Amino acid sequence: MSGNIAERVEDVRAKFASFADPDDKWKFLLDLARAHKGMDASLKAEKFIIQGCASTMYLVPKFDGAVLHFEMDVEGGTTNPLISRGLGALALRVYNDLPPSEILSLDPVFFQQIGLNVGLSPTRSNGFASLLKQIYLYARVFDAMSKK
Amino acid sequence: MVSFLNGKSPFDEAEEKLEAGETVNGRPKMPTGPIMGWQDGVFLLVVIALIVGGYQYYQYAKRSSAETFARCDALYQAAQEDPQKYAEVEACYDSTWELGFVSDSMEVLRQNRQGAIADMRSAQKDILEDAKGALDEGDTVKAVTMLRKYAGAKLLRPADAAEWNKISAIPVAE
Repeated sequence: MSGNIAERVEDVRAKFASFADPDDKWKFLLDLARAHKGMDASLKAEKFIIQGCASTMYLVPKFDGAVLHFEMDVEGGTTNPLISRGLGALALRVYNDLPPSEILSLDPVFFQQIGLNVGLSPTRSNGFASLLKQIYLYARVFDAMSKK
Repeated sequence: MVSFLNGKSPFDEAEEKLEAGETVNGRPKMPTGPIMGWQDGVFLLVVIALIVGGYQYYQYAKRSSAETFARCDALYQAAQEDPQKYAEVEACYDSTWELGFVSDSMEVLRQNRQGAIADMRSAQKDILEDAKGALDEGDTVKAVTMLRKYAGAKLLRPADAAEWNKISAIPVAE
């Protein structure tokens, strides 16, 4: 997704505001999940697993000195954790390929304001919070590195 | 390349015959041969059979999915009265991954129900962790009572379930 973080946030906010039926949110997450390309198996190292997710979610950062790029994938064993993958894809839609300082400028409470957590199971809610925590942690680390 | 008309339409043929002066009562003489060869006929039949078969399979897959999801839903409703049935509900929804057709609404329901079951497992796991904590602190009675009093869904994975059973089987005076 292109645009600065303010434009992305507005885009997601408008999308969520357009949902007429409660199921629309889930269908949107399913669409995001289906459209999301996974990652190369060689990148799936244990150090990139997000702790606190019911499914196994990988988040791999790559910083080129200007923008922070993320690769994300979710594995669920015998099931296909589409909602979890959709949540990951939504986070990347907002945060991917931006300078770390821009990532840090957004208060993640935005996701609650748009109603993402409504109806979300506690396990998924915790998993999403862990994902955001990790994104902000990487952003802080690479932001500090880029200022040295 | 397959051609139904041997590369030439009857109208083109008629036009050519008109130009060549082949007419019947002033009208071009229409071709009298078969409109297509037997190979083309067989090909057409195969295509029709594939379309009809595909449609029938799609209808069957839709019906089969609707039946399976209805069964899982009935189990889910029953499990709300009897939490011990959630394991059956989970197995039922797990079996839906084999289905050939799942609509978006079914997918939303499946994801939400599986999410709810994952939450229950997580809650039971938390109780097990608390019980292990109590055991570590030497409070065996508290640990055992905690597990024996639990009346919720039993959904732990085999290794955790084995630990659960081992702790709850410790003889204590309640």
